[in-house]
Amino acid sequence: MKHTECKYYINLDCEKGMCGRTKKMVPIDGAGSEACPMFDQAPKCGVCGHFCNADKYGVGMCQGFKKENWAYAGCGAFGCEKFVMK
Amino acid sequence: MNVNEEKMQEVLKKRGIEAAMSEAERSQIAPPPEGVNKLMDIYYVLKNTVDMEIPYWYNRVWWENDGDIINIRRAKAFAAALSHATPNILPYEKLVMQKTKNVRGAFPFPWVTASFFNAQAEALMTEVDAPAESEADRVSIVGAGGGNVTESYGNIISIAKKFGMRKEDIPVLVKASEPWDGCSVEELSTKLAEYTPEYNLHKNLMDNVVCMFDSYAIPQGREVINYYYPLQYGWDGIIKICEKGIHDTMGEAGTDGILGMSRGYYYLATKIMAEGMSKWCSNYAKKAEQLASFETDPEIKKNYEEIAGVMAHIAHKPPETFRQALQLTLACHLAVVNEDPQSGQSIGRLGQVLQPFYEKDIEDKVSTDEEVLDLLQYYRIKITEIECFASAGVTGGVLSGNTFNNLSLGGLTKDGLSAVTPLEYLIVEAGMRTKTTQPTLSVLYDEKLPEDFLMKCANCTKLGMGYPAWMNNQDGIGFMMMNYRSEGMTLEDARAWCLGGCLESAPGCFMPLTYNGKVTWIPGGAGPTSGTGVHFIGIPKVLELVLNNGFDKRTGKQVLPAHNKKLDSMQAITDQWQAYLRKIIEVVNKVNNLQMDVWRKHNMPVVQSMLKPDCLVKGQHLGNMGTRYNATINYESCGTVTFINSLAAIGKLVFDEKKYTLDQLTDAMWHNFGFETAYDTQVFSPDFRKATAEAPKYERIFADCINAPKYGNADWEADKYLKWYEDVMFPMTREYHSYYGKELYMCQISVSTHGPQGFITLATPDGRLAGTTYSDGSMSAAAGTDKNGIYAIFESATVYDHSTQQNSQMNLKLHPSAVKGIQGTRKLLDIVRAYMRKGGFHVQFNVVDSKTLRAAQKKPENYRDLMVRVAGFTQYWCEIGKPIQDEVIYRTEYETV
Amino acid sequence: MSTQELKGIIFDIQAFSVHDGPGCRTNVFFAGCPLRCKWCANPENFAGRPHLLYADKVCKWSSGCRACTKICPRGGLIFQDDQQPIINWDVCNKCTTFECRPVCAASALKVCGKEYTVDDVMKILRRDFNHWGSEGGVTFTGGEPLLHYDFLLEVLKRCAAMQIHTAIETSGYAPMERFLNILKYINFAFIDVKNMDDKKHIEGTGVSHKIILENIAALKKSGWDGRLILRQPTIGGFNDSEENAQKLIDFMKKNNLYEINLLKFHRLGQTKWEQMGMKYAYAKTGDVSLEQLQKLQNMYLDNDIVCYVGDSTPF
Repeated sequence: MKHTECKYYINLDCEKGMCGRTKKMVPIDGAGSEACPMFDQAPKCGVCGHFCNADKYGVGMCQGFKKENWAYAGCGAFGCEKFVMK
Repeated sequence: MNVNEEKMQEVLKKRGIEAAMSEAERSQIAPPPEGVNKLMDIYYVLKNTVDMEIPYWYNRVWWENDGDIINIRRAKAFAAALSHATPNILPYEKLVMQKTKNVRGAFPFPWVTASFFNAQAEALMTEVDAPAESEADRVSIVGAGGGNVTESYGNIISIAKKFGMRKEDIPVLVKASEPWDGCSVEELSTKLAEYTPEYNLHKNLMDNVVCMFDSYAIPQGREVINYYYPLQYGWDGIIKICEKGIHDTMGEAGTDGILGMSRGYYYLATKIMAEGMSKWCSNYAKKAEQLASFETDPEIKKNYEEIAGVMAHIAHKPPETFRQALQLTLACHLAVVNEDPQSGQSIGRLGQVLQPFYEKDIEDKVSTDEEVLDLLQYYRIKITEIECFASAGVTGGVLSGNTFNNLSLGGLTKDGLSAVTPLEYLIVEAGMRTKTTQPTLSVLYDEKLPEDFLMKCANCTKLGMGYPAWMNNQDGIGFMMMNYRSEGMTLEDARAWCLGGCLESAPGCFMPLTYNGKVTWIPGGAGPTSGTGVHFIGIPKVLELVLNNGFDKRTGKQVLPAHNKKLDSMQAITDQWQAYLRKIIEVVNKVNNLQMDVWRKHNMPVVQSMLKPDCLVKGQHLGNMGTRYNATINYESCGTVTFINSLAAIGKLVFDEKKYTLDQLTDAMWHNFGFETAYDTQVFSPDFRKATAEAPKYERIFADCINAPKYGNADWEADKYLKWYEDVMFPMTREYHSYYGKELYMCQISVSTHGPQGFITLATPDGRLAGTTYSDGSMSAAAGTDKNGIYAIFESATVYDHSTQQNSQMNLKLHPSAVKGIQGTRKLLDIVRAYMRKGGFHVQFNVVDSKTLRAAQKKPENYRDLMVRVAGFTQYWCEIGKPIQDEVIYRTEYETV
Repeated sequence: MSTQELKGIIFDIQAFSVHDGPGCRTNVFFAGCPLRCKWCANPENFAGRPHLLYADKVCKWSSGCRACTKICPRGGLIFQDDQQPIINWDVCNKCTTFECRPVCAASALKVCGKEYTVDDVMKILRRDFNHWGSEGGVTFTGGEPLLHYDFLLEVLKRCAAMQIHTAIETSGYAPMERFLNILKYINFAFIDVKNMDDKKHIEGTGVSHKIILENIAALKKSGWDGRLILRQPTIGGFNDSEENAQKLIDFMKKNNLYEINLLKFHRLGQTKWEQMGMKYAYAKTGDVSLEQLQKLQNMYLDNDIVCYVGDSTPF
């Protein structure tokens, strides 16, 4: 698992973030981007029970709302009222 | 510190000489709090980043509500976008909320402009599908461009040479842009613009960069926000106001057969938006709680808990402390800058708006000045983080990457007394302790302001960050009274003016804030954007077109219709220049009106329309002239002094002395006076010259052009053209009407357009070579041509009344030695006052040694935190383009040795 | 001579001058000087009349400019081996017509010094009066302003009528009557005392300090109510000794003087000396260490004399 998927991950920019526990900067890609054993999945569309049929880009369908619509796996779902962990 | 310092003070005292030395003064500036330092260290290594969360949600909800009333649909979409954005809090932060989940984050607005993304869709997807690059290529280039992502690398794709977007977001961008094909503000207005009689001419002007950019690119900004309603009522209170509005007006037209019915829709939309704001704040409270739940460091844990408390409170109720109030203004600000691509969303006179909250906290002893100072420093970082994603040309070319969130100080109260508050001293102090590009500070200079406050501001200016800049309060009031008289502006409201954007005088009003058992009249914005008119006409380029019969030699295009006139007198030249300029304004204005009309009908502001008086009273959004004042749309010029100097050279050499014929002069211009062009050499410094074989032919005329009278030397032979120009422009701009049906007026700031517009202009009669920058601002002398000192520039600049136009702009560069010590502060204030007394509208300073700038150009990585004042804003040296760097270096530096 | 006809040769009028008197000021640099200080920052001024300057570093010859090649009718500009011009100072020092100046677009060939009438000067001062602020004014410097006695006196009378604050920076080297007459109209004076050893004074400046010291003493005795600050450009190997300082302290105490400004040696004059084809003395030895300056400052302070170093001044 990657740091970016972790609920302790704090966003910084397109190439790095910060671990909320260690306060150390962590890269999104390449060496050092793998999460530690403390990993805990952050709420994101990709891990939501209402998300399905993702294509190779991670674009799939959201069935959580009255109207079904497309969604993408990487979208943060912290503020989503319909999020349910898969 | 000088070893003899103490003794010196003793002897001075004994001799009855009042003095204090510079060293003592310097040591008074306290360092930033530790958390601010930590956050700045993070900031310096951050990349500008765009992601798709907000556009995704906006898009989804917008299309799910297809067919709804547009105002309501807009509110639903944007409320959903904010309330679904991932809240992101950094440890050490005391004030929170971000535009997006990334710190220097932004996002594209396909509903405003989609053509670029749709045209690039395939190419972008190819980049995504390309195999990942080798590990070595994944390393980004740090230093040269600061936070700019100028090239793609690894999994990051450079957008507009400024932002990085992760590859996995690209398919989302492409998918979100598709439905806007043909119906974004850009495309819809373009389709309509094609019906204007001279659309081809407009296209010519844009293609040849005679006019710099389109209005839809940044439809909001250059205006002053208004925090009154949330501060007074909180989101819950605003929701109640809206509910009453819905109750009173839904289905009720009143006596207005056109817009009366819109009121009900407006109140409903605004209610939805206020709920979205509330949810957005609540999400941050929840996020802070979550962070606190696993935090082990007690200090950081306490910090998260405090944030959770503040956010939970302001998610519903009006603020009850200074910190809550400041946080709430930040929430409003970030929401507004997220509802449109924009720059120049000014904070306004924050130290007056928040004074009641500060005062109560101090009275109640719930806070100290030092705590408030800390918060104000955290605030500086939050505002510096604001980035704007517009098109490449706008972001880099016009804005130099800055978003101009200007904070004004001083000015007068509703009653006409000094408006300076104790909190404003702290705002200046915070700017001295924590040196960031934003918010830039502007002093509304008035003779009534307390001297110690002015000295404090001068002391801050001296530190070399380029702020505060100094604006003439009386000029501003004068302009307000003149420009908004037809809309019934009172002197009281005129006093509420301040700077929108970097230098755009914007109308305001005072609102009665009831807090701490009394009413305080707080100033704030009361009009829509004081910009978005006819954008940046390069007036030296227009002169070039006059001299070459409308033909652009650089591009080989007939840009304007040939005039075929014999240019046998100054009058003939200036008449034709006016004729061309009129034509340009007429054509550009129509297209601009269409762009902005489509924007206000399809993309009306929903947050801004909640905040600005008198929208909530009238029940009308900003597009329906809900604000109190609407004659805000301007015409913007670029290259004033290059143009003035050019006229002076033609006047003297061709018509007064008859030393050369006009043909000889233009021949020299078209041959770049015998020098290689910057297009060939790629060196854009105004000082750089490389002779060609043709040089001997033009050496004499070149020297005569260079030595011709120049603006900025108190030489009437040059200054008379400035007076003429200003006198001509005042009525000319007022011949044209904005989409609000109000007269245009002139704005004279170049921002950074003097770079690109200089680039497209061939050599000019003043001896400026092809492709090099125009003189910056409107009142700065052309680089190196001011030979008679600062006072002479002041004389030249004030040959006309500055309150007739929205602004003027004067950049000065001072050597640090000239303003050293407390005496130096006094002397800096003396210069400011001298110019203000003469009626100059604006002056700003770079207090920096040119040697430092040259060194920084060579080794930007060693000067990550160096800041300079460019046109109306402060920017990190490493994040501005080379031509502008050259121009700043070459500016005359005032020093005395 | 009527005041209309009075003319002064001025080589520069500099606005926003901040180190030569209180507040923001305009400096009027008079041409000509009876002294020949070997470290002078404005050697172009020695002549006392308009004079050619050549700034070889800004010359655009290397970028291909040849504008000045055929212009001088007297062979003042020499071009050897297709190199940038060399100035034939024997010719150019006598020049009054300066044909070469207007052809130079780079301002490498410049003329310094221009004739001004009293009205010309007053026009500028009246303009700058708007800008100085409450403490500022005009500073007459040079060169040696006292060389232009009649002209300066008239300008000063007009300044007095307009209530302009006046300062002077002078060598004090002038006949006593003239010196005192001028100073009557001056609010603030800097007088240079370059060396207390007369022999050395003559060696460094070409003249004796006797007149200067007598003038200072006479000024103090005259009941003049202005502020007087002695100035000493402190030159390594010339006047940076403690012995010299002690003598000056004695002189100051005797004459009830209590402010001195030690100026740091700088090389600003060096390029100008070269631009005029002259050698610059003290280029190597002129620097005085900060420690030595502080030591000297300490000596003055011990004697209750306020001693400012460089531009750290309370005005």
